[in-house]
Parts: sequence; C-alpha cells; structure tokens
Amino acid sequence: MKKIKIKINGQEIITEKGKTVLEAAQQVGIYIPTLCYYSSLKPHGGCRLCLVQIKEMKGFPVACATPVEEGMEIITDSEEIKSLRKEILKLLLTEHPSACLICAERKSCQAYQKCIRKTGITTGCRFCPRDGQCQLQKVVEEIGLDEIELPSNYRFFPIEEEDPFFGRDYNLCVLCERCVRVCHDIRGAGVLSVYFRGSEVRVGTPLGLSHLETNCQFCGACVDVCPTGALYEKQSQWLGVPQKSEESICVLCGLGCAMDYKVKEEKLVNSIPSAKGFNEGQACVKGRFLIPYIVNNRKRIVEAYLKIDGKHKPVNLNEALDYVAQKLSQKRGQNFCLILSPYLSNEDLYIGQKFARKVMRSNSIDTISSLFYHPFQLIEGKREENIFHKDYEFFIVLGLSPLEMSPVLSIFLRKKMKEGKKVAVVSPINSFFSDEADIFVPIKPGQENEFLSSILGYSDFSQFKKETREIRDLINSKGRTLLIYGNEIFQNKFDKLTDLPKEIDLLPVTLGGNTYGAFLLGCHPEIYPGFLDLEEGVKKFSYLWNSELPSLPGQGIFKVAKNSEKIGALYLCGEFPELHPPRAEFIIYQGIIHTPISAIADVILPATTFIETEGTYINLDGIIQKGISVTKPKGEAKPDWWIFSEIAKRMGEEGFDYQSPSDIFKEIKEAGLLSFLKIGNLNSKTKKTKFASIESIPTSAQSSSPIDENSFRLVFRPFHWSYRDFFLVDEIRELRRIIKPDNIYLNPNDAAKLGLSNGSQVNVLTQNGVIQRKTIINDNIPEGFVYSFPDLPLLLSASLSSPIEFILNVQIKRG
Amino acid sequence: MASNYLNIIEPIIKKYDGKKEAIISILQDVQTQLRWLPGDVLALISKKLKIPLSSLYSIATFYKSFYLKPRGENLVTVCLGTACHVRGASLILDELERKLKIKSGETTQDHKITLECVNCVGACALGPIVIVNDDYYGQMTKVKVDKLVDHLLGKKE
Ligand code: SF4
Ligand code: SF4
Ligand code: SF4
Ligand code: SF4
Ligand code: FES
Ligand code: FES
Repeated sequence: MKKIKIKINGQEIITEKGKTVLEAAQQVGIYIPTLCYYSSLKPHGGCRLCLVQIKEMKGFPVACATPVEEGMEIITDSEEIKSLRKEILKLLLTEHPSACLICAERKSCQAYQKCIRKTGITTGCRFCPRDGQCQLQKVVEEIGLDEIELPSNYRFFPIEEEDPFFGRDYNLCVLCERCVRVCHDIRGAGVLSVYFRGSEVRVGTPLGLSHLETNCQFCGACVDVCPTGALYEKQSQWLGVPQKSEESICVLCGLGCAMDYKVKEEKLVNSIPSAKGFNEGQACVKGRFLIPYIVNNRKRIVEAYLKIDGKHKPVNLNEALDYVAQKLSQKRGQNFCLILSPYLSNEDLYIGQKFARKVMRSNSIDTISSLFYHPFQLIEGKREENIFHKDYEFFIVLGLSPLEMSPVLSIFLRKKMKEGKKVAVVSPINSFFSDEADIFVPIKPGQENEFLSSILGYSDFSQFKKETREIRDLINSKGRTLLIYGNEIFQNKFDKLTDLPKEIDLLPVTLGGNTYGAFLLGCHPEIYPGFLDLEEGVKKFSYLWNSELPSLPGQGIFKVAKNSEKIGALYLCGEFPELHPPRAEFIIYQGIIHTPISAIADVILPATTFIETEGTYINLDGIIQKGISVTKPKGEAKPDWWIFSEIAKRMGEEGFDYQSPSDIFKEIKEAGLLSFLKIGNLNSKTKKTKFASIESIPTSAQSSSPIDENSFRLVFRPFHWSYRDFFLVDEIRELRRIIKPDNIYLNPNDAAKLGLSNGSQVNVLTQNGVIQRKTIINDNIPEGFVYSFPDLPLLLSASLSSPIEFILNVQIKRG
Repeated sequence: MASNYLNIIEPIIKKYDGKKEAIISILQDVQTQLRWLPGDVLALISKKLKIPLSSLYSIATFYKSFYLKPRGENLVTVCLGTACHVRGASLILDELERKLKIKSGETTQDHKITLECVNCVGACALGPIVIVNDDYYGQMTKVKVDKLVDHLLGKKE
C-alpha cells in the first residue's frame, strides 16, 4: 500500500492509499460519529452523520465513503459540522420513539428507573433490548442533544415476533441498511431490502413475508450489525448488558468458528461470532443461536444418579464413581464397550480410549462417525496448509453437504469469487450458491464418482461433457485447486481421490466438531492413536503406557447397535443409534442431557459442555484450536477426561494423574500424535502404515437412477443437528420451526404423478421397514429422487457393514 | 394460477434475453398485461432471473408506476388539489368511496374500478375534477359521479 500524507484538524497523519477518511481518522483515534458505517460492509453513505469538510472539496463529503488523497486537509469538528450533525440527528430522531434519549431525567433514571414509560409506543430505551449496547445512544451522547423541537413522526409499525430466534421492531429502525448489506453482500441470502420511498421508506422482508417464508438462514448476521434495537435476539432480549465476553470457539461443526461468548452472572447468555476469527464475524444458526439453549437446557444432567430398584436416585458424585469403579473391575475385556462423541475435545477422546484400552483391556471403542466415514477417507485429505489462507485459484464443491453443514464455508467461497477466483459446484441440488458459482454441474445423486473419473480424464461424462471439460481446463490452467467434498463422496468408493493430480488439495467436510480428532486419537475398534493398526499400536502404546494392551479388533458401534445380544458393560459418552434399546448387563451414561437412553442406564454421570471446560479440537482445516472454559460447569458436572481418570484411579490404575487438559495435551504431543497435522504429504505417510484388518469399503451409492417407474431413490441428507448425546431438534423448540426431520422433499412432477400436495402424509416403503414423512414439494430436487433426514435405525437395518448406506430404493404411498 | 402467470412471464423474459439488467422493462411489460404486479408473479420472476425477491420488491415499490395491489379495468381519479378541494372534492371522494365500497387506492372486488386521488391536474378552473381513465370530467357533483360510476359498471339508469 502506498503511504500518503494528509492532515486532519491540523494534525499531520501518514496513512495508506485506498483507505477512507473515516478509517484514517480512526487509525489515529479521532472520533467521527457514524451510524450506517460498518467495518466489514461496503460503505453506504446514507446517514450523513460522518460528514466532514475537506479543503478544495465542495459541500460536506461523508468520511465513510471518501477515499483519502495525498495532501488532503480534513476538518472533522468545526462548529458548522457539529450543528449540521445535530440537525441530521434530530430529524432522524423524530421517527425514533425513544424519548429517553433526550429526557432531562435520563441520568437519574439510569440509576433508579423511576420513570415507567414516557413515549406513546414501543419503548424509550429503558424497554429496548439494546439499551446500553446501542450505537444510536452512543452517537446521541457524543453529539450531544437535549431537546428536539421538531414534531415527532412515529411510524407505528407492528412488532414482528412470529419468527424463531429474533424479532423486529422497525419503529426503531434508522434505515442504515447495514442489515440489508450484510444479508445480500456477505451472506448471499438476499432476504432483506429497502422498500417504498420518501416518508414511507422501510426495511424488511419483501411482501410482508415472515422470515420463515423466505430463504433466511437464521444466521443472525443482520441482528449483529443492527446499530439499534430494531433487530433483537429473543433469548437475550431482557437480560441486559452482559458482564463479560470471552473469546473461544464453536465446536458444533468442524469449522470451529471464533466466537465471543457473553456471560452474565456466571451464565452463558449469548454467542456472537468474533470479527477476529477466520470466520470474520460470521456464523451459522447453530453457533449464533443454539449454544445457550444447549448449555442452559432445562434437561441438563447436573448430578450423578444410580438406578436403585428401577428408579434413578441422585447420589453424591464420589459415591457414583466408586460404584462404577467397583462394577467395571469385574467387566474387563473386549466385552466392555465405550461410545465416545466426535464433539469431544482431543483430551477427552484420548483419555477415553486410553481408559478403555489400558484399564478395561478392550478395543471396543467407537464413535457415531464410523457409521458415516471410514477413517481412511479422512486421512486422504491432504492437510498441507490452512485453506483459509492458502491462495487457491479454483474451488470445486462436490455434493451439497459441505455447504449445508458449514454455511460459513459458502461465505468464504463467495468472498473468493469476488476476488476473482473460480468456483464450481457439482451437486444434484440447485441452491442460491450454485446460482452464483461460475460452473454448476447438476449431477444425479450417486454420480459423484463418475464425475471424479471424468475430471481425471478416465471417462467421458457424456451428460456433462462441456462442464467437465471446463473444470478440467480450469484445473490445468489455474493449478492450485481445492476440492471440498462431503458425505456424498464418503458414500462412494474413495480410491479416485488418491489419484487426483497433485495440484488438487482435498478438504473433506465431516459431521461432528472433532471427527478428525476422534479418528486420529484412536477412537475406533481397529485403530490406535496416530492411525496405527492394532499390531503397531500395541507395540507403541504398551511401551508408552507401561501396560499390556488388547490386540484383537474390538466391537464397533455398528455391531453393538445391530446386535441384540447382551454385552458386558456399555459406557455411553456420545450419540448412540438406537436400533434396539441398548442391551448390556451394565450401562453407564455420561452426558449433558437426560434422554430416553439415559433413562435406562444404571448410572448417570454429569458431564460438561465445551463451554464449561478447556480443550483442544482439530478443525476441518487440520488446525488444532483451543477452546477455553467460559463459565463454571453446571452443578456437579465434570469434564469427561476427569471422570475417566477418576474411575481409573479408583480401579487402582496408574498413568491417570492429570491436573488439567494441558497435561493430557502434552502427553498426546509427546507421543508424536499431532505431527500428522504438520507433515507435508499425508498420503505418503499413510501408505506405509498397515491397516491390515479393516474390511473393504462398500460401494453403496453406485447406481444412480431408480430401478423402475414406481420406485424412488431416497437420499438421506447429512444430519448435523446434534451435539454429543442429543438431537438439538428434540430439545430446542425454536429450531424445530426451521428443521423438520419428518419432511420428505420431492420434485413437483413426481408429486403430481403420485397425486401428492405439500404437506401430504406419506409412507416410505423400504425393504427394511416403513417410515412416515410429510411431503414438501421443491423443484430443486431431481426427478426420481426424494430427500429426507436419516432414520438411523432404518439405515442400520438396511446396511450390512459400516459406513452405512445412505441411498435406498423406496416406494412412496399416500399415508 | 401460477402456470397462467408463467405463460405471461416466459415470453417477456425471452424478449429481453433473460437479462437481469432489463428488469424494469420486464416488470413494465408484465404489468401492461396484468394491470398490476401480484406477489406470485414477482416470486416467479425472481426465480427465473435469479434476482432476490427482496430486490425485485424494492424496485417495484420504489417506482410509483408499479402497482402492487390489483388494478381495475377502469381507473377513477379524484383531484384533491386546493382548488378542487374548496369546491367540495372531498365530498365527491366520500361519495365514490361509499358507492364503490372501497377506499382510495383500492379496487372493487369485481376488478372493474380502482379509485385514486391526486393533487391538482392543472384544470383548476373546472374543479372539482374526476378523471376516468384518460377522460376528464369537470364541475362534478354527487349526482354526476353516481351516474358516471353506474355507466362504468354497466348499470342502466
Ligand atoms: S434503539 Fe437505542 S436509542 Fe432507540 S430505544 Fe433502543 S436503546 Fe434507545
Ligand atoms: S438472519 Fe441472516 S439470512 Fe436471515 S435476514 Fe438476517 S442476515 Fe439475512
Ligand atoms: S433494521 Fe437495523 S440494521 Fe437494518 S436498516 Fe434498520 S437500523 Fe439499520
Ligand atoms: S459454521 Fe460451524 S463452527 Fe461456525 S458457528 Fe456454525 S456450527 Fe459453529
Ligand atoms: S456513517 Fe458515513 S454516511 Fe453514515
Ligand atoms: S386542484 Fe384539482 S385540478 Fe388543480
């Protein structure tokens, strides 16, 4: 950037070409009031509060939209400017029902709240969700207003409260259009805009639709940029100003966005995406709105329980741990099975499997992730560099799931497109994002492999000859390419991926916040930490842990869930797909929420959420991120690593004397387990490692069209609405208004053929049973296919091995 | 309904080569055929041209010449400018609202008449003025407007 010299209020300043006058002033701490300016958005120049005087320029240019020039002389605070700003602000406030702003009693009111309400409608700041955090309040304070002699002109809009998560009171809107800009330019959702003109001008959704009726992502970005109380979050609406803000990460998907967690009276009240993270102030509905619902859930397990005479009785945690230790001492061996969660931290996962292997002598350790992925497929991702910083020229998104599961990825890609990089979307489903992409290839579900072969030049994808050629040419001409793929590819045989040319880096997008960590740290019945096979693993870790270790493959989640035979002890510390109610002589449930499964456990142990404990997580990008403990654990809840270690110690085992997660992290690091993330080419490394006993990968998703007229291919979409042991949809009512697990999506032509309309009840007949669904007609769905969220029990019974099948032949009958 | 709209929209979009930049002309042409722009039509155009519905609605509400409420076959406009006003234009408007059972800016259920107001059409000397489609009627009285409306509605006296 070229350095240039300017003068502000007589002070000489060195700044850079390309900056605006406002940015140059802020850089040296000169205050210019703003309202419509927002650092990550394109300047709008609408409110005119930031007006300044510039020598040799006519009138009063706005600082937020005027670029600096060499030698510019700027005045920001002359009397003339100040009085103009006052006038502008007064005009603006004639429409703003907030008498508090200029009320003479304001100071004492803040202390004693003696005045109930002085304005005709809506509010007065005292009753505004933004009170104390409002930019308009600040600006009024700075500019200084104590009287408005103009008549008020309130707009009397009805308050819009019917949508989930956030409400809208457009009476408080100052028409800064920040929400409009963030929704269009950053999110690409285009839900909000400005309508009418003159005195009728207003912001909102088109045609008076509710947000549920638009393609609103419920990302909350509009709420976060709104300078006033016009857009407000419902769950924290009446909680007032938070007392502290802690920066940490979100682990509800593998992206690991940076978040600012807001805390009041030791309670998590809000999570706002941090502008400092790679996510640049953006998040998705999960991270933005759901975390307080998880942490403060009324069904939280806050103490330990033992089942006595068929009933759960709360007991002292110590007592429960002693009991578990005593019971487990009789259950050593492979018949002990531990289910962990891909949402746990590396430390929890490592200690969990160490407990199972060293203490319980069992390799029966698994996570729900094994039902969806083969660990092999994950190592294929060449994690050479941070994708958010590396200069890729071309991005291919294969399948819908990457964008569906991590909406923040699509924001990243939109940004790249604006920088002139190319993006191709290869997916059966057309979305707002595929509309924007440079190339869109509407393949059929199951054709993902065929597409990859054609990219490799192995075959000619006759249906999409032109598009695949374009993509090939782009790879050849642009070089550095990133292939982002999701569940669709995991359903396929993955060998094509290893053949891809070197210029192509791979980014697998998986369910779970720490799926990679779970596999890397050996939470799998046939893998030791570091992706070692059983033989090598036993060799390495019996030395490190100074103990005998099991060398036969353990029982995985697939077997345990399918098998109705009893196992010795089942230790559930993560999501378990319920085909039959879990059958075991002894069941331990270690989790955060009371669920139907916890109801049948012999012992319930209270665990912490990621908000209440420190830990590291490996994100999609292969980066080890640290999460801090934002609030104290609820009740008696304890970190999972602590619980495992306590039980181990009570069973007389050594090697579990950890004081904190950092002790565990040190052990993981010293065992050389994290070097995988640093090593340049993972492929060459893994080729040398033996995965002797792993069964071959099924090639389930091969056939790409329905077999006959009356049958459909049912494609199960990845279900990423869970955390640890529970489905977010089950426990969060607001979320159920957006995500409907009971819906089935189909093409209008198919619906017409079957005589179905929107909302018809249908029976979906499979070879392994019937499921009920409600139809949603959507012309983005390809003909002959229907989409739905998975029914895990059905999928389990339909599959012969794991990873399980996600495309089934079905018939659809009116219910 | 939706497929009827599609039959109208598709040829118009084709006429402009499906270009997003031609959106104003496209909306104008659609309005010429339908007399107004129903929400469903905006939604269809949004889908076809891949323009967010919010942006379309923003354009449609910005220009006074687009109608987002149904328009009747006939447009009856009452002048409420100062000159007409002092000569009793508001009584004329009251009479029309009463007789048609609609408010200014609305359309009768049978889509025959839309009622609107303006401020001065430059024929002050003849006030109060009522304009029916493109024809001006001066020195209106309650009785005269009644007749006018009956005529428009095809009623015999
Ligand atoms: S938006 Fe700000 S100024 Fe307006 S009522 Fe709320 S807190 Fe007060
Ligand atoms: S929540 Fe997100 S998608 Fe919805 S209107 Fe706000 S910014 Fe747009
Ligand atoms: S709703 Fe908020 S962000 Fe949107 S224009 Fe109004 S004040 Fe600005
Ligand atoms: S994209 Fe992922 S990490 Fe980011 S907020 Fe959403 S769930 Fe959390
Ligand atoms: S902040 Fe510059 S015009 Fe609004
Ligand atoms: S006031 Fe009615 S025509 Fe001038």
